[in-house]
Amino acid sequence: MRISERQIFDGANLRSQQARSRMDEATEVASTGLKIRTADDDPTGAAFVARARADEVRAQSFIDTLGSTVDMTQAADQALGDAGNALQSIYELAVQVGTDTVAAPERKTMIAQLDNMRGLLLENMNRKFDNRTLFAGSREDGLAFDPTSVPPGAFLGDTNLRSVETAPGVTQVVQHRADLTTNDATITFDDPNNLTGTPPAPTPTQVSMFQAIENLRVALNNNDGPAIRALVNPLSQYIGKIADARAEVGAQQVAIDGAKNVSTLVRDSTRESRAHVEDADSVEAFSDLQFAQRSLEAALNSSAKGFSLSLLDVVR
Amino acid sequence: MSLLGTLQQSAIGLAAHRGASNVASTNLQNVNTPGYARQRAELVSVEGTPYRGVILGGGVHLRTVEQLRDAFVERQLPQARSDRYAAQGRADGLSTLALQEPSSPDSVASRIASFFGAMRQLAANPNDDSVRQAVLGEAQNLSQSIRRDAQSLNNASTAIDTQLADRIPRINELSQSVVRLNKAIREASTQGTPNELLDQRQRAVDELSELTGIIPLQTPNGDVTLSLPNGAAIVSVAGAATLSAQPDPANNGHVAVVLTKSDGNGSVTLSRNDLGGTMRGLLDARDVDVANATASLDNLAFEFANAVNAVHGAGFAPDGSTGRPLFTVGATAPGTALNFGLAAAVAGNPAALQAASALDATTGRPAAGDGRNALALLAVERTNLPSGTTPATTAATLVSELGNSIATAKSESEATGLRLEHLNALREQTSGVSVDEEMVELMRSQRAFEAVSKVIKVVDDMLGTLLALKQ
Repeated sequence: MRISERQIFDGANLRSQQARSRMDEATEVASTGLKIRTADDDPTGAAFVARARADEVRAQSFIDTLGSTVDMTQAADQALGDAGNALQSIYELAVQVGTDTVAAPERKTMIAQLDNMRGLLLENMNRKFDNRTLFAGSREDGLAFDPTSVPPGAFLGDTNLRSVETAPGVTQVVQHRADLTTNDATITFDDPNNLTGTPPAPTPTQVSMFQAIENLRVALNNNDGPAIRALVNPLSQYIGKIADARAEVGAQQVAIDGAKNVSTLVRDSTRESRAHVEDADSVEAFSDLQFAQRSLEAALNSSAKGFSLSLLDVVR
Repeated sequence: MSLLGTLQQSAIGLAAHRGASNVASTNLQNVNTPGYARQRAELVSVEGTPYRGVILGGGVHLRTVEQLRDAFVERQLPQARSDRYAAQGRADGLSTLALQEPSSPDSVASRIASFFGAMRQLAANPNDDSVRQAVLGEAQNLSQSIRRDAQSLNNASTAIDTQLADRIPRINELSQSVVRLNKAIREASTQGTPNELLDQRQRAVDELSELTGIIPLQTPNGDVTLSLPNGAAIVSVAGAATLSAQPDPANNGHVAVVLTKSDGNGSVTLSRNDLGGTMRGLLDARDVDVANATASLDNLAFEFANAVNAVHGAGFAPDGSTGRPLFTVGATAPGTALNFGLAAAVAGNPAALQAASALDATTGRPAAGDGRNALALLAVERTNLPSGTTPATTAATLVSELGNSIATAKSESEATGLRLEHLNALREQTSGVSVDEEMVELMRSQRAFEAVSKVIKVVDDMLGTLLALKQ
């Protein structure tokens, strides 16, 4: 084959350019640690990386949102626990003053204590977290239960419960509907002073938690032992309702915690998959760099040797 | 034959060998001249003359100096060159694109996820002003990200316009030059083969095939006519057509290439299919790759904005107002990405975000903790847009499509480059100058010249001997 002078020089130029280009590419991979720096490096991989990056951001947003929600449910659990304690105290007071051995003046003195405990109960049921009332439904900027109503404790909230997205397309209620806990249609009060019909029997009347407390206050004031005793059962049932509410909030908390953990797993595994596609293996990157360096040296050496052998160098 | 005849014959031989050494010398001097085809001196023996029953040789003379070209290779080169430069032009056109790295937190796909992340917080904390501000901030970031990519695509188209316009004067200059050289070659051919003019014309034709993918055709009188891949004559016997760059209103004012015939009568707008070479590649990059990517981005922005606006508009702001869109969007997709942004009524006004889904009958405003419309907005993130995929997947696909276009352009450029390189090597094998070979030729001519000089000396001596006989 006939080789022209241009072929010798152009060939040398081309080979050294190619070797230098490989070297440049290997240097960039080794220095950035990335296999995919621009979309054209690997279009399919780039789409995967872009999608994975978006999935990571989304998983992180779940983690952040659920993290603050967990704090809120913990606050709700704490408030319900404190409210339960206050109601328990009221219940114990009713049991204590319900016996016929307690005299009227003594019962009257208990009214102040009862008011105090009712105030505490209302305070707990109106508890706020991050300036948001926990049990008022979506009316979170106001009180859940009105301390000034007659009787105190009228529900001011609404029935729109707060929900958060725990996974794409999956929502979880993260609020307790306190109006149902404090006003159960099945809890009744058998008022012994309201006897009707024959044979005489008390008419069971549905009673809310705050109405029961108000009835207790009236019974204490009236020194009405049977009425006090009749209120022990409804108060006991409302203690159970608060315990149920705590269990519900606890279950929400577990669900949110679980969802948060899943999102953390999704984020970490997505990050790992992305890194697998996007990140360069450092050992491989540096051995490629070494190889590219050697190739460049070889290309330059061989070109230089090719130039030095010519008839011009022999014939003088 | 007389001694004087031999002397005359030797003088012709000396001239022939001097000519041969001149050819080798010219070849050596043009060893690096682009487009130069090596020349070869054709020495032929002169027919002998009868002399006393025998035919004595007539010496040597330089019949011609020919260029060495392989017609088969030369015929394949224009198309190979056109393909190579078309692919290179496409790759160059796309190389100006400055899109974000796929894993950048500033990519459109990531920004979409961040926007919905903020919306997720808003659904859980609709009454929190800082969260509302964060939603607006992320919506703003997403808008910027979409606008930045759209601007990058637009800039690439504008840069390609400049590259197209910059090349047109050179194309016209080369076409005119071919016309001039055709004439000069025709005139010079009466004296012999004008190799240097042929080289000059070949260089112009080569460059024109790189730029426009012209197909050369040699006429019987030695002229070269050039036509574009669509058959339109750019250089004909009548003269050269003229190309010009004109804004095309049908293509957003981008540059259109217009051909005006050599007689000045009639002009035609050339489509990308009418051209080859770099011009074709640049038009492919602008009108196919960048245009498709722009359309996809516009479509994503349009569908995304409409999907978000539909849900957002149905919600209620804290003051009870409703019906506001979140993003600005026109009636059709084209141009949406470049102008993508927050609706004027929402921009800078976190209280305008309509996160609630209902009004409270007593207050006429939504409850402070009503974030149900923000929750409903999250569905947009996982719902397929009319084009068939979710917003983030559509954005990721766009990255892949554009990456694929750039990668294809590069690999086509490499593949066609290899073919052109191979053909160039074949051309060089025939037409390229080898210093070693020319040195040998030079020494051979020198030796022959010395030998013939010696003959002259000997004949001169013989003539001297004869003249001495008379004295």
